[in-house]
Amino acid sequence: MAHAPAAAHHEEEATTGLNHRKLLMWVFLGSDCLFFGSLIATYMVYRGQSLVGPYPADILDIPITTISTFVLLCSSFAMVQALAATNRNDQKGIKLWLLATAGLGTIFLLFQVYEFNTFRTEGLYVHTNLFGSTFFTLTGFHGAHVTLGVVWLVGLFFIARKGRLGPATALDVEIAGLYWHFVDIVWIVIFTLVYLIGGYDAGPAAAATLGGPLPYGFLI
Amino acid sequence: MTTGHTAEHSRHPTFKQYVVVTIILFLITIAEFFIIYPKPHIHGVPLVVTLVGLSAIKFGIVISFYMHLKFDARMFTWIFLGGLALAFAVAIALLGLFGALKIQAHPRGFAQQHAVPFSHEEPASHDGAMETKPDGGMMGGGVDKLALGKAVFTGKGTCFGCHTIKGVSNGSIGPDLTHIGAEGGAQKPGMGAEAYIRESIENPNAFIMPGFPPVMPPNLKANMTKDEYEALVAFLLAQK
Repeated sequence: MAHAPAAAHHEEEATTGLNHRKLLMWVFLGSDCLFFGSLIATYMVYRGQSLVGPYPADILDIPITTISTFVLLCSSFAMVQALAATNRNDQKGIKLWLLATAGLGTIFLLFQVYEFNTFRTEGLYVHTNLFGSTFFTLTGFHGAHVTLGVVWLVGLFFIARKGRLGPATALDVEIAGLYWHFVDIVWIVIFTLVYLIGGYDAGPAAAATLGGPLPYGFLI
Repeated sequence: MTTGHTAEHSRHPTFKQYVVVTIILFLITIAEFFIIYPKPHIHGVPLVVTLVGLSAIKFGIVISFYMHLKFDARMFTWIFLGGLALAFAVAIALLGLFGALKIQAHPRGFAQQHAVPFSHEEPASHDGAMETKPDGGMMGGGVDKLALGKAVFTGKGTCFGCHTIKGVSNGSIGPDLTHIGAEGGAQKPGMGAEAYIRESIENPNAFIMPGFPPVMPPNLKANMTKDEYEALVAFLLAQK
Protein backbone atom coordinates (compact mmCIF):
# COMPACT_ATOMS: atom_id res chain seq x y z
CA MET A 1 0.00 0.00 0.00
CA ALA A 2 2.90 2.30 0.65
CA HIS A 3 5.13 1.64 -2.32
CA ALA A 4 4.01 4.16 -4.88
CA PRO A 5 5.55 7.51 -3.99
CA ALA A 6 5.88 8.53 -7.64
CA ALA A 7 2.47 7.36 -8.78
CA ALA A 8 0.68 9.19 -5.99
CA HIS A 9 1.82 12.48 -7.47
CA HIS A 10 -0.44 12.15 -10.46
CA GLU A 11 -4.10 12.94 -10.21
CA GLU A 12 -5.90 9.69 -10.86
CA GLU A 13 -8.34 9.21 -13.67
CA ALA A 14 -11.56 8.07 -12.07
CA THR A 15 -15.17 8.31 -13.12
CA THR A 16 -16.10 9.17 -9.55
CA GLY A 17 -13.48 11.90 -9.36
CA LEU A 18 -12.42 10.29 -6.10
CA ASN A 19 -9.23 8.55 -5.16
CA HIS A 20 -9.67 4.81 -5.57
CA ARG A 21 -7.74 3.77 -2.50
CA LYS A 22 -9.52 6.18 -0.24
CA LEU A 23 -12.89 5.16 -1.67
CA LEU A 24 -12.02 1.51 -1.07
CA MET A 25 -11.07 2.29 2.53
CA TRP A 26 -14.41 3.99 3.14
CA VAL A 27 -16.31 1.09 1.55
CA PHE A 28 -14.38 -1.29 3.83
CA LEU A 29 -15.15 0.84 6.89
CA GLY A 30 -18.83 0.91 5.91
CA SER A 31 -18.84 -2.89 5.73
CA ASP A 32 -16.93 -3.15 9.02
CA CYS A 33 -19.82 -1.22 10.59
CA LEU A 34 -22.00 -4.21 9.72
CA PHE A 35 -19.49 -6.59 11.28
CA PHE A 36 -19.34 -4.73 14.59
CA GLY A 37 -23.05 -3.88 14.41
CA SER A 38 -23.84 -7.61 14.43
CA LEU A 39 -21.49 -8.33 17.33
CA ILE A 40 -22.86 -5.41 19.36
CA ALA A 41 -26.46 -6.46 18.62
CA THR A 42 -25.60 -10.00 19.75
CA TYR A 43 -24.23 -8.62 23.01
CA MET A 44 -27.41 -6.59 23.51
CA VAL A 45 -29.69 -9.54 22.69
CA TYR A 46 -28.05 -11.65 25.40
CA ARG A 47 -27.59 -8.79 27.82
CA GLY A 48 -28.93 -9.70 31.26
CA GLN A 49 -29.68 -13.29 30.18
CA SER A 50 -26.79 -14.99 31.95
CA LEU A 51 -27.96 -17.54 34.52
CA VAL A 52 -24.61 -17.99 36.27
CA GLY A 53 -22.01 -15.45 37.31
CA PRO A 54 -19.75 -13.60 37.12
CA TYR A 55 -22.03 -10.84 35.88
CA PRO A 56 -20.87 -7.47 34.46
CA ALA A 57 -21.47 -5.71 37.80
CA ASP A 58 -19.19 -8.23 39.53
CA ILE A 59 -16.12 -7.76 37.38
CA LEU A 60 -16.24 -4.82 34.92
CA ASP A 61 -13.79 -2.16 36.10
CA ILE A 62 -15.23 1.11 34.81
CA PRO A 63 -12.46 3.49 36.06
CA ILE A 64 -9.68 1.38 34.51
CA THR A 65 -11.58 1.12 31.23
CA THR A 66 -12.22 4.87 31.23
CA ILE A 67 -8.44 5.38 31.42
CA SER A 68 -7.84 3.01 28.51
CA THR A 69 -10.57 4.91 26.61
CA PHE A 70 -8.58 8.12 27.16
CA VAL A 71 -5.45 6.37 25.89
CA LEU A 72 -7.26 5.45 22.67
CA LEU A 73 -8.56 9.03 22.29
CA CYS A 74 -5.00 10.33 22.71
CA SER A 75 -3.78 7.92 20.06
CA SER A 76 -6.35 9.35 17.63
CA PHE A 77 -4.94 12.84 18.32
CA ALA A 78 -1.41 11.53 17.68
CA MET A 79 -2.64 10.00 14.43
CA VAL A 80 -3.96 13.28 13.03
CA GLN A 81 -0.66 14.92 14.04
CA ALA A 82 1.23 12.21 12.12
CA LEU A 83 -0.82 13.06 9.03
CA ALA A 84 -0.28 16.80 9.52
CA ALA A 85 3.49 16.23 9.86
CA THR A 86 3.44 14.15 6.67
CA ASN A 87 1.64 16.91 4.79
CA ARG A 88 4.22 19.52 5.84
CA ASN A 89 7.11 17.08 5.21
CA ASP A 90 8.28 17.21 8.84
CA GLN A 91 10.32 13.99 8.77
CA LYS A 92 11.03 13.99 12.49
CA GLY A 93 7.39 14.70 13.29
CA ILE A 94 6.15 11.87 11.06
CA LYS A 95 8.25 9.29 12.91
CA LEU A 96 7.51 10.73 16.33
CA TRP A 97 3.73 10.87 15.92
CA LEU A 98 3.48 7.49 14.16
CA LEU A 99 5.42 5.90 16.99
CA ALA A 100 3.28 7.74 19.56
CA THR A 101 0.09 6.45 17.90
CA ALA A 102 1.36 2.87 17.78
CA GLY A 103 2.64 3.16 21.36
CA LEU A 104 -0.68 4.42 22.72
CA GLY A 105 -2.48 1.68 20.78
CA THR A 106 -0.17 -0.86 22.42
CA ILE A 107 -0.94 0.57 25.86
CA PHE A 108 -4.65 0.19 25.11
CA LEU A 109 -4.00 -3.45 24.18
CA LEU A 110 -2.07 -4.00 27.42
CA PHE A 111 -5.07 -2.68 29.35
CA GLN A 112 -7.18 -5.23 27.49
CA VAL A 113 -4.73 -8.05 28.26
CA TYR A 114 -4.85 -7.01 31.93
CA GLU A 115 -8.66 -6.92 31.85
CA PHE A 116 -9.03 -10.32 30.18
CA ASN A 117 -6.54 -11.84 32.64
CA THR A 118 -8.40 -10.38 35.61
CA PHE A 119 -11.69 -11.79 34.29
CA ARG A 120 -10.06 -15.17 33.85
CA THR A 121 -8.81 -15.28 37.43
CA GLU A 122 -12.29 -14.27 38.60
CA GLY A 123 -13.81 -17.17 36.71
CA LEU A 124 -15.19 -15.55 33.56
CA TYR A 125 -14.27 -17.53 30.48
CA VAL A 126 -15.71 -17.41 27.00
CA HIS A 127 -17.76 -20.53 27.89
CA THR A 128 -18.87 -19.47 31.38
CA ASN A 129 -22.10 -17.70 30.47
CA LEU A 130 -23.75 -15.60 27.77
CA PHE A 131 -22.02 -12.50 29.13
CA GLY A 132 -18.59 -14.13 28.78
CA SER A 133 -19.27 -15.44 25.27
CA THR A 134 -20.60 -12.19 23.87
CA PHE A 135 -18.21 -9.92 25.79
CA PHE A 136 -15.01 -11.70 24.79
CA THR A 137 -16.17 -12.05 21.18
CA LEU A 138 -17.04 -8.36 20.86
CA THR A 139 -14.07 -6.82 22.69
CA GLY A 140 -11.72 -9.52 21.35
CA PHE A 141 -12.53 -8.63 17.75
CA HIS A 142 -12.07 -4.96 18.59
CA GLY A 143 -8.70 -5.79 20.13
CA ALA A 144 -7.78 -7.70 16.97
CA HIS A 145 -8.58 -4.58 14.93
CA VAL A 146 -6.38 -2.48 17.23
CA THR A 147 -3.58 -5.05 16.89
CA LEU A 148 -3.76 -4.90 13.10
CA GLY A 149 -3.70 -1.10 13.31
CA VAL A 150 -0.57 -1.16 15.50
CA VAL A 151 1.18 -3.48 13.00
CA TRP A 152 0.18 -1.14 10.16
CA LEU A 153 1.47 1.95 12.02
CA VAL A 154 4.77 0.28 12.92
CA GLY A 155 5.13 -0.65 9.24
CA LEU A 156 4.56 3.00 8.28
CA PHE A 157 7.13 4.03 10.89
CA PHE A 158 9.79 1.87 9.22
CA ILE A 159 8.86 3.31 5.82
CA ALA A 160 9.16 6.78 7.35
CA ARG A 161 12.63 5.89 8.69
CA LYS A 162 13.74 5.39 5.10
CA GLY A 163 12.45 8.87 4.36
CA ARG A 164 9.76 7.58 2.01
CA LEU A 165 6.82 9.40 3.62
CA GLY A 166 6.05 12.99 2.73
CA PRO A 167 3.44 15.18 1.05
CA ALA A 168 3.56 13.00 -2.07
CA THR A 169 2.72 9.86 -0.11
CA ALA A 170 0.47 11.46 2.50
CA LEU A 171 -2.39 9.24 1.33
CA ASP A 172 -0.59 6.21 2.78
CA VAL A 173 -0.74 7.83 6.21
CA GLU A 174 -4.24 9.20 5.69
CA ILE A 175 -5.72 5.78 4.87
CA ALA A 176 -4.04 4.18 7.87
CA GLY A 177 -5.46 7.07 9.90
CA LEU A 178 -9.01 6.42 8.64
CA TYR A 179 -8.72 2.80 9.82
CA TRP A 180 -7.26 3.88 13.16
CA HIS A 181 -10.01 6.44 13.85
CA PHE A 182 -12.63 3.89 12.89
CA VAL A 183 -11.30 1.53 15.55
CA ASP A 184 -11.60 4.47 17.96
CA ILE A 185 -15.27 5.15 17.13
CA VAL A 186 -16.11 1.46 17.47
CA TRP A 187 -14.65 1.66 20.96
CA ILE A 188 -16.75 4.75 21.70
CA VAL A 189 -19.85 2.63 21.01
CA ILE A 190 -18.61 -0.45 22.92
CA PHE A 191 -17.55 1.65 25.90
CA THR A 192 -20.96 3.33 26.09
CA LEU A 193 -23.11 0.23 25.67
CA VAL A 194 -21.08 -2.41 27.51
CA TYR A 195 -19.40 -0.38 30.25
CA LEU A 196 -21.40 2.81 30.87
CA ILE A 197 -24.94 1.51 30.30
CA GLY A 198 -24.39 -2.21 30.97
CA GLY A 199 -21.68 -1.95 33.62
CA TYR A 200 -24.10 -2.37 36.51
CA ASP A 201 -25.92 -5.41 35.11
CA ALA A 202 -26.20 -7.83 37.98
CA GLY A 203 -27.34 -11.40 38.47
CA PRO A 204 -30.81 -12.67 39.39
CA ALA A 205 -30.03 -12.53 43.13
CA ALA A 206 -29.22 -8.82 43.07
CA ALA A 207 -32.37 -8.21 41.04
CA ALA A 208 -34.31 -10.04 43.76
CA THR A 209 -33.03 -7.67 46.46
CA LEU A 210 -34.60 -4.84 44.50
CA GLY A 211 -38.02 -6.44 44.96
CA GLY A 212 -38.24 -9.37 42.63
CA PRO A 213 -37.88 -9.59 38.88
CA LEU A 214 -37.63 -6.19 37.24
CA PRO A 215 -39.06 -5.27 33.87
CA TYR A 216 -36.29 -5.75 31.40
CA GLY A 217 -35.57 -4.43 27.90
CA PHE A 218 -32.36 -4.73 25.92
CA LEU A 219 -31.19 -1.24 26.92
CA ILE A 220 -32.76 -0.65 30.29
CA MET B 1 -0.16 21.94 4.65
CA THR B 2 1.81 24.80 3.12
CA THR B 3 2.79 22.70 0.13
CA GLY B 4 -0.85 22.35 -0.91
CA HIS B 5 -0.04 20.33 -3.99
CA THR B 6 -3.59 19.14 -4.09
CA ALA B 7 -6.68 20.98 -3.04
CA GLU B 8 -7.62 18.10 -0.73
CA HIS B 9 -4.75 18.59 1.67
CA SER B 10 -5.40 22.25 2.28
CA ARG B 11 -8.85 21.34 3.54
CA HIS B 12 -7.65 19.43 6.58
CA PRO B 13 -8.44 20.95 9.98
CA THR B 14 -5.73 23.06 11.58
CA PHE B 15 -3.65 22.03 14.59
CA LYS B 16 -5.68 24.34 16.80
CA GLN B 17 -8.94 22.76 15.62
CA TYR B 18 -7.57 19.32 16.40
CA VAL B 19 -6.62 20.38 19.93
CA VAL B 20 -10.09 21.83 20.52
CA VAL B 21 -11.73 18.67 19.15
CA THR B 22 -9.60 16.48 21.40
CA ILE B 23 -10.42 18.55 24.48
CA ILE B 24 -14.15 18.33 23.69
CA LEU B 25 -13.87 14.55 23.33
CA PHE B 26 -12.07 14.37 26.68
CA LEU B 27 -14.69 16.50 28.43
CA ILE B 28 -17.57 14.42 27.07
CA THR B 29 -15.87 11.21 28.23
CA ILE B 30 -15.28 12.67 31.70
CA ALA B 31 -18.94 13.74 31.86
CA GLU B 32 -20.07 10.25 30.84
CA PHE B 33 -17.88 8.69 33.51
CA PHE B 34 -19.22 10.86 36.33
CA ILE B 35 -22.83 10.33 35.26
CA ILE B 36 -22.51 6.64 36.14
CA TYR B 37 -19.68 6.53 38.69
CA PRO B 38 -19.54 5.60 41.54
CA LYS B 39 -23.29 5.04 41.17
CA PRO B 40 -25.56 6.09 38.28
CA HIS B 41 -27.09 9.48 39.04
CA ILE B 42 -29.98 8.98 36.66
CA HIS B 43 -31.70 5.74 35.71
CA GLY B 44 -33.71 4.04 33.03
CA VAL B 45 -34.61 5.82 29.83
CA PRO B 46 -33.05 9.23 30.73
CA LEU B 47 -29.71 7.52 31.48
CA VAL B 48 -29.70 5.59 28.21
CA VAL B 49 -30.76 8.61 26.15
CA THR B 50 -28.08 10.81 27.78
CA LEU B 51 -25.23 8.32 27.34
CA VAL B 52 -26.20 7.27 23.81
CA GLY B 53 -26.60 10.95 22.89
CA LEU B 54 -23.19 11.90 24.28
CA SER B 55 -21.43 9.05 22.54
CA ALA B 56 -23.25 9.86 19.29
CA ILE B 57 -21.79 13.38 19.56
CA LYS B 58 -18.31 11.90 20.08
CA PHE B 59 -18.87 9.57 17.13
CA GLY B 60 -19.92 12.50 14.93
CA ILE B 61 -16.95 14.63 15.99
CA VAL B 62 -14.41 11.88 15.24
CA ILE B 63 -15.77 11.09 11.77
CA SER B 64 -16.20 14.81 10.92
CA PHE B 65 -12.80 16.07 12.08
CA TYR B 66 -10.35 13.21 12.72
CA MET B 67 -11.60 11.36 9.65
CA HIS B 68 -12.25 14.78 8.01
CA LEU B 69 -15.52 13.80 6.35
CA LYS B 70 -16.59 17.39 6.99
CA PHE B 71 -13.84 18.59 4.65
CA ASP B 72 -13.86 15.75 2.15
CA ALA B 73 -15.94 14.69 -0.84
CA ARG B 74 -19.60 14.07 0.07
CA MET B 75 -19.47 10.63 -1.52
CA PHE B 76 -17.27 9.28 1.32
CA THR B 77 -19.83 10.42 3.88
CA TRP B 78 -22.67 8.70 2.03
CA ILE B 79 -20.75 5.46 1.63
CA PHE B 80 -19.90 5.34 5.32
CA LEU B 81 -23.34 6.40 6.52
CA GLY B 82 -24.84 3.82 4.16
CA GLY B 83 -22.85 1.08 5.86
CA LEU B 84 -23.75 2.49 9.26
CA ALA B 85 -27.47 2.56 8.37
CA LEU B 86 -27.30 -1.06 7.21
CA ALA B 87 -25.56 -1.97 10.46
CA PHE B 88 -28.37 -0.33 12.44
CA ALA B 89 -30.95 -2.23 10.37
CA VAL B 90 -29.18 -5.54 11.03
CA ALA B 91 -28.91 -4.76 14.74
CA ILE B 92 -32.60 -3.84 15.06
CA ALA B 93 -33.59 -6.95 13.10
CA LEU B 94 -31.48 -9.16 15.40
CA LEU B 95 -32.91 -7.55 18.53
CA GLY B 96 -36.43 -7.96 17.15
CA LEU B 97 -35.90 -11.60 16.14
CA PHE B 98 -34.74 -12.50 19.63
CA GLY B 99 -37.50 -10.60 21.37
CA ALA B 100 -35.12 -8.11 22.96
CA LEU B 101 -36.96 -5.03 21.71
CA LYS B 102 -39.97 -5.47 23.96
CA ILE B 103 -39.81 -4.90 27.68
CA GLN B 104 -39.88 -8.33 29.26
CA ALA B 105 -41.74 -9.11 32.44
CA HIS B 106 -39.01 -11.45 33.59
CA PRO B 107 -35.36 -10.49 33.21
CA ARG B 108 -34.01 -13.94 32.39
CA GLY B 109 -37.12 -15.34 30.73
CA PHE B 110 -35.41 -16.13 27.45
CA ALA B 111 -32.35 -17.81 28.94
CA GLN B 112 -34.25 -19.78 31.55
CA GLN B 113 -36.51 -21.32 28.94
CA HIS B 114 -33.55 -22.38 26.86
CA ALA B 115 -31.09 -23.32 29.58
CA VAL B 116 -29.40 -26.69 29.26
CA PRO B 117 -27.45 -28.32 32.08
CA PHE B 118 -23.79 -27.84 31.42
CA SER B 119 -20.67 -28.93 33.18
CA HIS B 120 -17.10 -29.53 32.13
CA GLU B 121 -16.19 -32.34 34.47
CA GLU B 122 -17.80 -35.71 34.61
CA PRO B 123 -19.96 -35.73 37.73
CA ALA B 124 -17.95 -37.06 40.67
CA SER B 125 -19.23 -40.32 42.01
CA HIS B 126 -20.50 -39.79 45.57
CA ASP B 127 -21.30 -43.23 46.92
CA GLY B 128 -23.13 -44.10 43.74
CA ALA B 129 -25.60 -41.24 43.92
CA MET B 130 -24.32 -39.70 40.69
CA GLU B 131 -24.23 -42.84 38.63
CA THR B 132 -27.21 -41.86 36.59
CA LYS B 133 -27.91 -41.35 32.95
CA PRO B 134 -26.02 -38.28 31.68
CA ASP B 135 -29.11 -36.82 30.04
CA GLY B 136 -30.83 -36.54 33.38
CA GLY B 137 -33.61 -38.83 32.19
CA MET B 138 -36.65 -36.57 32.38
CA MET B 139 -38.96 -38.97 30.60
CA GLY B 140 -40.25 -42.48 31.24
CA GLY B 141 -41.73 -44.18 34.29
CA GLY B 142 -38.65 -46.06 35.46
CA VAL B 143 -36.51 -42.97 35.80
CA ASP B 144 -34.13 -42.91 38.70
CA LYS B 145 -35.36 -40.46 41.32
CA LEU B 146 -31.92 -38.97 41.86
CA ALA B 147 -31.46 -38.40 38.13
CA LEU B 148 -34.75 -36.52 38.01
CA GLY B 149 -33.71 -34.50 41.06
CA LYS B 150 -30.43 -33.60 39.43
CA ALA B 151 -32.22 -32.57 36.25
CA VAL B 152 -34.51 -30.31 38.30
CA PHE B 153 -31.47 -28.85 40.11
CA THR B 154 -29.66 -28.08 36.85
CA GLY B 155 -32.77 -27.17 34.88
CA LYS B 156 -36.19 -25.83 35.70
CA GLY B 157 -35.47 -25.46 39.42
CA THR B 158 -32.72 -22.94 38.49
CA CYS B 159 -30.89 -23.92 41.73
CA PHE B 160 -27.60 -24.26 39.81
CA GLY B 161 -27.60 -20.54 39.10
CA CYS B 162 -26.77 -19.69 42.70
CA HIS B 163 -25.51 -22.90 44.35
CA THR B 164 -22.43 -25.02 43.88
CA ILE B 165 -22.50 -28.78 43.95
CA LYS B 166 -19.04 -29.93 42.96
CA GLY B 167 -19.16 -31.57 39.55
CA VAL B 168 -22.71 -30.35 38.89
CA SER B 169 -22.81 -26.57 39.14
CA ASN B 170 -20.76 -23.62 40.31
CA GLY B 171 -22.96 -20.77 41.52
CA SER B 172 -21.61 -18.52 44.22
CA ILE B 173 -24.55 -16.41 45.37
CA GLY B 174 -25.93 -18.98 47.78
CA PRO B 175 -24.24 -21.55 50.05
CA ASP B 176 -22.30 -24.51 48.63
CA LEU B 177 -24.55 -27.60 48.64
CA THR B 178 -21.89 -30.20 47.86
CA HIS B 179 -22.34 -31.85 51.27
CA ILE B 180 -25.82 -30.62 52.13
CA GLY B 181 -27.09 -34.15 52.79
CA ALA B 182 -24.49 -34.62 55.50
CA GLU B 183 -24.38 -31.10 56.90
CA GLY B 184 -28.03 -30.08 56.53
CA GLY B 185 -28.97 -31.66 59.82
CA ALA B 186 -26.45 -29.55 61.72
CA GLN B 187 -27.71 -26.13 60.67
CA LYS B 188 -30.71 -25.84 62.99
CA PRO B 189 -30.91 -27.65 66.35
CA GLY B 190 -33.56 -30.33 66.40
CA MET B 191 -34.10 -30.26 62.65
CA GLY B 192 -32.93 -33.12 60.46
CA ALA B 193 -31.31 -32.67 57.06
CA GLU B 194 -34.46 -33.46 55.09
CA ALA B 195 -36.66 -31.10 57.09
CA TYR B 196 -34.00 -28.42 56.82
CA ILE B 197 -33.77 -28.83 53.03
CA ARG B 198 -37.55 -28.67 52.66
CA GLU B 199 -37.80 -25.58 54.83
CA SER B 200 -34.97 -23.89 52.93
CA ILE B 201 -36.73 -24.38 49.60
CA GLU B 202 -40.28 -23.62 50.74
CA ASN B 203 -39.43 -20.77 53.08
CA PRO B 204 -35.83 -19.75 52.34
CA ASN B 205 -35.85 -16.76 54.69
CA ALA B 206 -36.62 -18.91 57.76
CA PHE B 207 -32.89 -19.43 58.17
CA ILE B 208 -30.21 -17.53 56.27
CA MET B 209 -26.67 -18.85 56.41
CA PRO B 210 -24.41 -16.16 57.90
CA GLY B 211 -22.57 -14.26 55.18
CA PHE B 212 -25.17 -14.82 52.45
CA PRO B 213 -27.79 -12.37 51.17
CA PRO B 214 -31.48 -13.23 51.76
CA VAL B 215 -32.26 -13.36 48.06
CA MET B 216 -33.53 -16.86 47.34
CA PRO B 217 -36.96 -16.72 45.66
CA PRO B 218 -39.59 -18.27 48.00
CA ASN B 219 -41.80 -19.61 45.20
CA LEU B 220 -39.42 -22.02 43.46
CA LYS B 221 -41.47 -25.05 44.50
CA ALA B 222 -44.43 -23.72 42.55
CA ASN B 223 -42.55 -24.32 39.29
CA MET B 224 -42.19 -28.05 39.92
CA THR B 225 -44.54 -31.00 39.97
CA LYS B 226 -44.81 -32.90 43.24
CA ASP B 227 -42.64 -35.72 41.83
CA GLU B 228 -40.00 -33.28 40.69
CA TYR B 229 -39.93 -31.58 44.08
CA GLU B 230 -39.58 -34.91 45.93
CA ALA B 231 -36.84 -35.96 43.51
CA LEU B 232 -35.01 -32.68 44.11
CA VAL B 233 -35.13 -33.17 47.88
CA ALA B 234 -33.89 -36.75 47.47
CA PHE B 235 -31.09 -35.58 45.19
CA LEU B 236 -29.99 -32.92 47.71
CA LEU B 237 -30.15 -35.43 50.58
CA ALA B 238 -27.81 -37.68 48.58
CA GLN B 239 -25.11 -34.98 48.48
CA LYS B 240 -22.87 -36.20 51.31
